[in-house]
Amino acid sequence: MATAKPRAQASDRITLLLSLVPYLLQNNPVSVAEVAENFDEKPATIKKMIEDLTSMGVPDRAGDVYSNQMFDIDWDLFEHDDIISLTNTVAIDATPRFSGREAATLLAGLSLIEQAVDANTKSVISELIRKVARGSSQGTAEITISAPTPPSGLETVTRALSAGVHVEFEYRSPTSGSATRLVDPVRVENVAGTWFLRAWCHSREALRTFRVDRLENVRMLDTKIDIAIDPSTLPDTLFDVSDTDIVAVLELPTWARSALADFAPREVRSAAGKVQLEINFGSLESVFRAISLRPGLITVVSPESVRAHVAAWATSAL
Amino acid sequence: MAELSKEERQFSLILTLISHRYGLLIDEILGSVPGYRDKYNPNNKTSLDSLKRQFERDKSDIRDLGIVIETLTLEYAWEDGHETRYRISESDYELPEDVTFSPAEFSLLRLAAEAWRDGSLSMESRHALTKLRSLGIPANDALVGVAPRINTSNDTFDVLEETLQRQGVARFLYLKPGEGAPTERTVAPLALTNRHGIWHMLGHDIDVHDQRTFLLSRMVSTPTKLPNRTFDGGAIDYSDQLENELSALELQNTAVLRVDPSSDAHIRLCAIYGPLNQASELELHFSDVNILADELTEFGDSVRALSPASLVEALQSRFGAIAHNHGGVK
Repeated sequence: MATAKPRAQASDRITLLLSLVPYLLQNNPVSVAEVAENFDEKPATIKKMIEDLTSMGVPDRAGDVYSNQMFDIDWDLFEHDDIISLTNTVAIDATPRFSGREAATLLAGLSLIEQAVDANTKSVISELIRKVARGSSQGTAEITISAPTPPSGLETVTRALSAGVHVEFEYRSPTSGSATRLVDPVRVENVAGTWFLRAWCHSREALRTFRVDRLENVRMLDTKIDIAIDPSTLPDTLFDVSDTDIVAVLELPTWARSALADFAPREVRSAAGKVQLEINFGSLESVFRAISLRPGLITVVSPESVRAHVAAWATSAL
Repeated sequence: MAELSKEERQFSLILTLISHRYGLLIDEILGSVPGYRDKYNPNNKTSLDSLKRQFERDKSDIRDLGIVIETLTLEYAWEDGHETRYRISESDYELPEDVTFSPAEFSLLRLAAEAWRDGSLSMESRHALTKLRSLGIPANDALVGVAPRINTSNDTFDVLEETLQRQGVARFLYLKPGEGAPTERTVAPLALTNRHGIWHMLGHDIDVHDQRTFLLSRMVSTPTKLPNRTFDGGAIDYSDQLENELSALELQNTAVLRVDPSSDAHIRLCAIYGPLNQASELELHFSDVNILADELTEFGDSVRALSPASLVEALQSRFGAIAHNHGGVK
């Protein structure tokens, strides 16, 4: 990650240390494997952390740290059986509060999720929002997300997803017109304010990404999905446009280039504050959509045929 | 002995301050806590000052973790003097006992934390999740297929967020729609709000001595945080204020569009704003005419703005520019 700072590592480790101790107190003794799984860390990381922990403690005023003021474990169990059994702990026994920023990230995430869920879960979320705010030591940072009205089909899709059943809807794609689609929903994603459904499409026998606001007449069926696809195996890129016909080069001011980040752009050249990006498009409609992300700032440089289509498209709207 | 790592020093400091309920004097801290103790020399002013600066930096780092080191200044009644003690109070440190989470709630919080995929706040959400994990709650995967993503994948957001957190002042070039050239702005960020997928910043504009709202997407240069400049906005809930202002604007402003009923625009707009009337018109509320025009551009000629005039004009200028840039209209 380009923005990672050295501080990140130290703060990650302190947070883990501070969180590890109350967990170990509640689950004493516990296997290294179980701790690693709970914290989503490697067993080796946890072992190293436990070793570090046992060298730390509370000094007296002269700076001496006596053994009863340090963390200690049953070393036989630790070394032979990979079991952590605390025999002495100091100072901390509870989970630390959230920082203002930490609380804000949770609240912002919750307000996005809230859009996609049923009334029951919505009320769970409003209670959660209160609890997280109370769990902060510093209020919450001034970073918020205010989600728009979700598209009408979203809730049905989410319910079908939880129930593991088929969904059917009408879908008009820019390339192939309107048709009824029967799908196994795999995941709904919110990307930059827009909801997408990733699903196994029985009509196409392929994984497909649908804009949820483009689904018409969404029906949740009562037939179960036969073979569920693990949503975590999906690639992060929404659209697979490797088999596309349109490859275009778009030019825009360098400062605005992040506008096209979701299109998997390849930099062709960069000079005088402008950057040229080569992008694969599934259809002319997606070219128009890309241009419209910063109207007037993004220009198709080539091919000439796509330039002409864009010109005609814009002129017809004048 | 090898020098203690930063996290070992800071962790020891936290343990020590929690253990001493009545707080410790700075000299007691520097003279006893591992990581300071080995460099502590009360007779050397230069080294003492540098150690005190290190303590202040650690205090600030620790504060970023959500752990507040209190400064207590005690006046002596019997003589003209005072002492400063540092401590971490239990009630400020510990998650309240009644803040507990069910497996379903924990799963929702984990999803919320995982929405932050990049940028500096993904670290903060990761830390929140680590703290939640210390509660040892098993997850239930009821909502495993819902994956919100919050995009902050550029330096602009990170710099402004950091500046906001430090109550600092940032400088950037800003391009207002309709203006040919960007202008330099010097602004103290007060709140960052993602509204309908678009990042807004409420800020105090230093040059005009007033609050302004900015869109991050119109910042032409990556903002820089000005060294040693701070701005105290006071204890006001600015996110709430910004949200209320934008909602009020949205109530005030109504647009009327004519939508081609056979178009993709029809399906997408009606999924959010409800059905068209008999004249194929759609009425909707909006907070900013330029944001709305940007959003409608992709629909091309299948959406016509009827009112307000400012929206008609904003769309015309967008299509005019696109046509012109592609060799269409001169």
